[in-house]
Amino acid sequence: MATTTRLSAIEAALPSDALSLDVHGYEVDGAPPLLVAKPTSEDEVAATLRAASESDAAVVALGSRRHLGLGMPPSRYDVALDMTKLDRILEYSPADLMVSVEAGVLLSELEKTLAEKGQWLPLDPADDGTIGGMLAANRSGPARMSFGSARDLVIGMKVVTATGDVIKSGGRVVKNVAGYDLAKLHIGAIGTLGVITSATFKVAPLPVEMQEVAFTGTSQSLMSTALEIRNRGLAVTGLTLSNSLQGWQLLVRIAGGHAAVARSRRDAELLASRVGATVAEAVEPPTEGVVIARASLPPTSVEAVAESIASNGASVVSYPLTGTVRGYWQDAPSAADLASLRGISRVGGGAFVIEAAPVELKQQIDTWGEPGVDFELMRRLKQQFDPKGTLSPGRFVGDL
Amino acid sequence: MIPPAAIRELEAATSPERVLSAYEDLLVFEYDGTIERGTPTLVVLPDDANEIAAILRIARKYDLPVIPRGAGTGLSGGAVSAVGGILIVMTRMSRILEVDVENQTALVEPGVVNLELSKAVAKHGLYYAPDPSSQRACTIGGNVAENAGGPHCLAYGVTTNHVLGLEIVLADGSVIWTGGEARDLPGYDIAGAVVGSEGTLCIVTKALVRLMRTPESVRTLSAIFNSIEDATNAVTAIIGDGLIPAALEMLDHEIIQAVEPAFHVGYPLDAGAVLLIEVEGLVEATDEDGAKARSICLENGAREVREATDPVERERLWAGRKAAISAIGRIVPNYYVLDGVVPRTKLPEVMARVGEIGAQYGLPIANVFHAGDGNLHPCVLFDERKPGESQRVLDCGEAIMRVCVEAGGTITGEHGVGLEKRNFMSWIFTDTDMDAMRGLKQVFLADDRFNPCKAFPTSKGCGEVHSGAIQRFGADAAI
Repeated sequence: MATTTRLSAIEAALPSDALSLDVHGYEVDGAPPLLVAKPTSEDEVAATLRAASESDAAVVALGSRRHLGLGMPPSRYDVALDMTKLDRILEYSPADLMVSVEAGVLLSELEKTLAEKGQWLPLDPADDGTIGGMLAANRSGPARMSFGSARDLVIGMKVVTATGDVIKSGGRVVKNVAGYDLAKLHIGAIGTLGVITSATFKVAPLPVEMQEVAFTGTSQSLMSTALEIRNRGLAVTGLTLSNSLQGWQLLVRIAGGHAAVARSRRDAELLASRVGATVAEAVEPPTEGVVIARASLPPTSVEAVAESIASNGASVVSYPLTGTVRGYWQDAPSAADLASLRGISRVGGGAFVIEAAPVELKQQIDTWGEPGVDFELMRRLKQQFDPKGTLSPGRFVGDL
Repeated sequence: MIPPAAIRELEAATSPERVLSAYEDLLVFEYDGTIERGTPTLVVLPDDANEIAAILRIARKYDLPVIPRGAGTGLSGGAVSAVGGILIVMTRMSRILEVDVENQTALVEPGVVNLELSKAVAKHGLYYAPDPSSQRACTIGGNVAENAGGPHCLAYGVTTNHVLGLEIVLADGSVIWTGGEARDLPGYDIAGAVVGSEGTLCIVTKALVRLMRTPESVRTLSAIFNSIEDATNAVTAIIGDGLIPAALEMLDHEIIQAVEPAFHVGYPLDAGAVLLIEVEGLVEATDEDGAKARSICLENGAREVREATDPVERERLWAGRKAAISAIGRIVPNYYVLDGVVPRTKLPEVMARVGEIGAQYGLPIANVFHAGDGNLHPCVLFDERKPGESQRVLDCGEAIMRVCVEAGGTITGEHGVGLEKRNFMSWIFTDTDMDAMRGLKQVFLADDRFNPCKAFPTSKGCGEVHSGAIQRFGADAAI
């Protein structure tokens, strides 16, 4: 295998069929790695990282590669650590509402397995991907309003550190306060503190019945409908506010027993009609864009920011009750426009993160925004767990 | 010994009345909810984060241990001073600072009593969901430190699922805000790592918490069974049927002997076990879920299933559960409440083992627990005045903990590791795991002076705090 001698330790750490020089498709912000490593087990992941650390190599762990656009361009990128071969379901106990999976398992595959037993993992981001990637990017969807996000669903996790140690936190049970909750740190960390190799989740029973109804109206009327649905405790497990050429739409997911669903459907329609919103044919919101950005806000700021993003020419998909507002641009906005939206989000009490953008745009505006007052702690975290900058250096907040 | 200069500096940083050193004052703070005892060298009662910052800087300057403490209701020795030091009592910081009704959040000081928060926001149709049994006394700060649970955590999650942000003070006196009303703020989830850290990383001076809407309808059922086995089978059947009640609690025969005379709930004294089931939501949902729970209990051998027909009766049922452990005082002088977790499906076999272990050690055990979560609280009943009894209790507790771990569970579901179980950590974590956790202490600049001897295996100087307590009240007791 012909790479630099610097990577020879990594080459020695894995069997030859787990290594490849075909780096096409592994680019991060246009920069390719020198080598692709595709381990098949946690031990191989550990061996790879140990070797990478000893060689001062920079590693980006990745899964389905759907959200590699997250973060700033890496300052160095030597090895793509492809986790997709860690694809086993390790343990599934339907009676305990618990499942443990390797990081390379696809969410869709997991849901198929769980559905056979009448259960699901209530994590429903718009696109499919590996569990490890979902956790590292902290992806979530409409179900968050009822079930929480990854940080609420993970009950245990195994991670390989930057120096190749395997560490565990949590366990296999839903109540567990032994040890520090390190899993919380790795969720949303885009692999910069460690590489997630497996995770244990609490799962939920699938609802007896599920219906969806869409309403159109002004963003204001739809937002107030969403709040009223919340305030009345209707059996609603998902709310998506989006816009399209046809205008604003609120997609309401109603789930539960038959009587509760029927009552909630009636009440939702009544609440909507009171503010002039009408039942409509659901329009699929977009899931692609040349630029994608997400505002995270208190619910009361959602409407204003959603309108601002829409005015800038983006399609908006928002989960209003948990404060997520995503914009999808088919034509890239200017850095100034994005900075302005960031300012509006800040004033609204939240943040604005660019999730995907051409490299040229990233050079003009930081994807994460200014670090917060707790940045010193984050810097020390990175220093403690990845002192050599082995894991995705330069991609995270504050150039971590 | 604390140098007089340090005491003067602490008094200047707070005020002389809030720095306590007289023995009779220190005694008041040497306990918690367990049999642990430890006398602090000094007690300080701060009013705000700046005072705490100053206290921590002074402690660092004079190399003194610091121990944060809330209401002292903890069940693992977390707020007990193991090796002296400065006990920082947070109870004066008890204001609810802000309630954001539309966004359903509250910003509170750590000394706010858990139930008081729910009461304060009730008028907005809101409440704070994590409801430990000690909620009439325990504080939010303590809840955050221990990642407290409670009966309603089955459906709604534990403290960490309700904390959005924290203001913390580090050992070097820096006051830092982390998290916020907006979820998914960029960066690492520092607040998430602090929750459940048992006061060993930093001191929490504000908490931004999520509030929930009070449900339209609540139905509370109590099902009487002839045996724990029948009751645990019913629990498995309920969960297996896809019903997740808001709460699913079990009381066994022993604990009913204490609870019934105290609270007159109406439990037959010959019942083998009682299941307390609560379902919440829309009227249509609770009608359906209540009926389902009832029929499943009857199918699994319930003698009868009753339902609380009014709020007074519901209150009484819950008083019988939440004060169950304190009712034990009616039948024995001492009890030791254990906290273990096992996968739900392992409950029947583990409960049988718990009974065997109690018999083996000659100690009666009363069980009350969060059956839906697999979180058991065996209460070992004893009299500490009897020679050797306290040590047998600790050994019995350890044996039960081992069974929990062997069954695939863990050593603590909600009470924390604290003093009590620090040496059991190696049953479930490797040295590498614990090194990573200790690494977190370094990130927070929290050395071994920060709540010493808690949460991790004993280090030098921690000694045997248990035997200290036993010696004081055991064989040599004059009573």
